[in-house]
Amino acid sequence: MSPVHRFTSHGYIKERLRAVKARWIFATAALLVGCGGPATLDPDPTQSVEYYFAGTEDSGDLHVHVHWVQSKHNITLLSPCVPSDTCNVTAYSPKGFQELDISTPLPVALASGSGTFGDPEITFTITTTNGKTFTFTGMVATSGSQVQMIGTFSGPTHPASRLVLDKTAF
Amino acid sequence: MTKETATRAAVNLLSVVLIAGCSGITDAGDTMAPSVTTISPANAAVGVLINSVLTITFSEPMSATTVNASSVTVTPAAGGAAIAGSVTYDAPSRTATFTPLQPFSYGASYTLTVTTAASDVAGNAIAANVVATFTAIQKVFDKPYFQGTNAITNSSQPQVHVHIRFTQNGQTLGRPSDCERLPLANCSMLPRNGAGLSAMGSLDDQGAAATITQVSGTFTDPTISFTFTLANGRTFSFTGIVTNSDTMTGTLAGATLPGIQIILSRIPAPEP
Repeated sequence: MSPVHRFTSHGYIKERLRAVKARWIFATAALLVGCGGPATLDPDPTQSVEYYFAGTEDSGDLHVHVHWVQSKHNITLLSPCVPSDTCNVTAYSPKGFQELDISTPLPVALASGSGTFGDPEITFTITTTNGKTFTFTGMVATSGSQVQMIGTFSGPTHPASRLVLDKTAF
Repeated sequence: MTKETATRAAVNLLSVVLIAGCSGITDAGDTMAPSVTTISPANAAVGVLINSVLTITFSEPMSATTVNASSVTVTPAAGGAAIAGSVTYDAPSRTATFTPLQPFSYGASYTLTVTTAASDVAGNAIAANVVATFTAIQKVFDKPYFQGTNAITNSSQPQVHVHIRFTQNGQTLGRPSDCERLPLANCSMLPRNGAGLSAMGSLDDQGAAATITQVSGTFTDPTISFTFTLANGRTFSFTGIVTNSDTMTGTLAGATLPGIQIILSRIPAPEP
């Protein structure tokens, strides 16, 4: 194909139009992303759960302290968290003592903990130093400076029960 | 001058002196403005009891009719109507007293003003309005309750967790009669480690907490001191400062507990 033919043929013009259109779509998409438009598929959470939360589950057997560090949607326990009083589970009844498999009234420290914060959905797992793993699934609600996690808490021998964790001062 | 004339003159002079002494006419030559020498509570005072009466002492005898609810006023610093109250004047002590009809509001600031409508017995008004402010004692010991754990650096140090509620009557603190046991446990002490458990002794509530059965203390805004007793009879004392209405910082000690630093914070909602 001669150069003249290339610039005048119908096929070439269509090809160039497609190329221009593709560039236009790409530029528009880039602009939208740059402006925080609809291409933001995985926004950062608007709520923060990076603090110390405490609460007693509804059966009154277990009291939970967790102190989270948040990286966007991921939460992990503050490290080091011991010997502070913000990462542990305490038995509040004889049944709680059994569920924690302990014989003293002292809190059992958390060895690990992690979870996902979907804002407002939240799920996390914590494991005590004596190997008991508990899970929490719920929602986060913020009202002014008050932040609550409201959901279901369960463990190896602890039946699922409602647990409200309040953002709490040290 | 005859003896009779002299006697009459002496009697007249004595009469003038007596009349002047009884009516204040001797101040007819007084042109000095009176001043306010003391105000109680003092200007900028804080922690003033809500049932306080205010007193103003003047530098010289005042005309009682000018020291009244118009010349002595108390208004909320935040604005609003004057505080209703009675004003009396005690001539021997040259002191005016403002007695509010209702207690002042906890934590509120007020402005006391003595206006130039107040004058001495010679009719001299005070030179300018005298203004003083004061702040009533905070009402901080209310529901839900305060809680806190002392920080430790190693497990050999006693660590305890305190949940405590108070009644507050002015500066006097006590224990509410409706304190709850576990799981709410808002008048309880809980061990956080073995040394803390040793300091506390036996636990009466579910084998997990010791119930605080007695509380007594004093709050002289911002200083606070109180003593509490556990169901097992052990007693602990806290001395510290209320840094704001939600936090108190101080030292907790007892016969079985060496002094530990602890921060007690008001929880935001019923038992976390």
